[in-house]
Amino acid sequence: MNIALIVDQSFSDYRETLPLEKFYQVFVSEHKNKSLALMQTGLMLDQSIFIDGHNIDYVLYATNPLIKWDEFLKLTTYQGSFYNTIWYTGDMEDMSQVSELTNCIHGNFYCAPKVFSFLSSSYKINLNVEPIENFKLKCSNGDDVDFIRHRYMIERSNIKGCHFP
Amino acid sequence: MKRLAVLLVGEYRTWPIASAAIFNFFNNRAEQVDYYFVTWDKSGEQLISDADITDYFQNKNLIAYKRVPVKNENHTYYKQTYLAKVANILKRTAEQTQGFVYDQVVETRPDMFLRPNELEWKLCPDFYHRISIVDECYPGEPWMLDLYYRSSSLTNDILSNRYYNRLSKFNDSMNYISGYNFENHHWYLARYVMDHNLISMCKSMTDVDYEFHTVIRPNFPTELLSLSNKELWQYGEDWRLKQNA
Repeated sequence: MNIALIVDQSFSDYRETLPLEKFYQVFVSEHKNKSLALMQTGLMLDQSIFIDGHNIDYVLYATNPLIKWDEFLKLTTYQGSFYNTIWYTGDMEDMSQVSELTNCIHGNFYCAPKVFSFLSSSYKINLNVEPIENFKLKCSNGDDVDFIRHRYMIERSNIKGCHFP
Repeated sequence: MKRLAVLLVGEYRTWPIASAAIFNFFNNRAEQVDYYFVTWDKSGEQLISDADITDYFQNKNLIAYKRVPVKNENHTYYKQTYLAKVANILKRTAEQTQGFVYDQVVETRPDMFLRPNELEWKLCPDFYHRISIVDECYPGEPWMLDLYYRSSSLTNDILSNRYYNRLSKFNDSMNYISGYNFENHHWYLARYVMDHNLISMCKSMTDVDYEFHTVIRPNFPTELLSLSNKELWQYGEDWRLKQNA
């Protein structure tokens, strides 16, 4: 299984904390802003697959070293929803105070390249139109525009979100 | 509308004939119309050169183009969607490097004959689209209705991922699992659109962007393109009747 690692500037010590040898490719964004980082790395990923011809099965978007490798490698058993699912990682105890999805999006997640490509375009979502105004009310942290855009993209385009495992 | 992207995606085929009608169709629809052209490096037995593409874009904004080595896929669906993804990458690259987002994006084929209507285009919001009506076609028919999608830039990004519309790297596995034979790639496209909750803005068969559209197949008598819509439809009906006789 070819796994691409994607990191942004918020995880500056990823070289020391992640087993880089396990990854087929590594994409690093120069942005700290999450939406811009996804935009940039999503395009890098798609170029690698469709222009350069690399075969990438999975994407790990890493913001911290708390990655459950053993469980992650079992993902191949989830073939039934492989291409339309985003798997979040995180500490369940930490999630007791905030919405699970909020915590997950701000943590590590795994997904197929297709799903990552979806997320990489979420920066285009106009937050000032009516459906999203209403959607903001559902979000526990409605001031975080990155989070709102990502969550709206996932829910609106029917991507399944699963806590992992 | 300020900026429109037109993604011309597919086999080269009758682009030299269709190009004039395509430019006429799009050129007045936005303050700036940008074109992207992605095709295979071979069309039938014809090797496609850069000039085969660029020569037709005199005084037009051809932002990027690409000739892709013919890909060995089991079905037209995957060939077309692969090219659509490449075109989308070219579009997104321009958006990122120049720091803007297109107001609308159209994906269609380079061998499409489009005749404009007088109606003003309503902009598609995100997650909405205006899709062509796909008709049944007969094998060998010199024309058929085919791919025409207008949407926001974001929606085009979602649509361009339809190459992944399968469960494994082996294209046919989904069909074995679902029990369906993979015979109609338009149906597959429609299923992808529904799976991701993309909504049509077309309220009827005539509520579309064009007055007339058809793929110009190599055996299409091009002099007929000057006929009225009614005469063109009649030609199609007569052709079918002749085949069934």
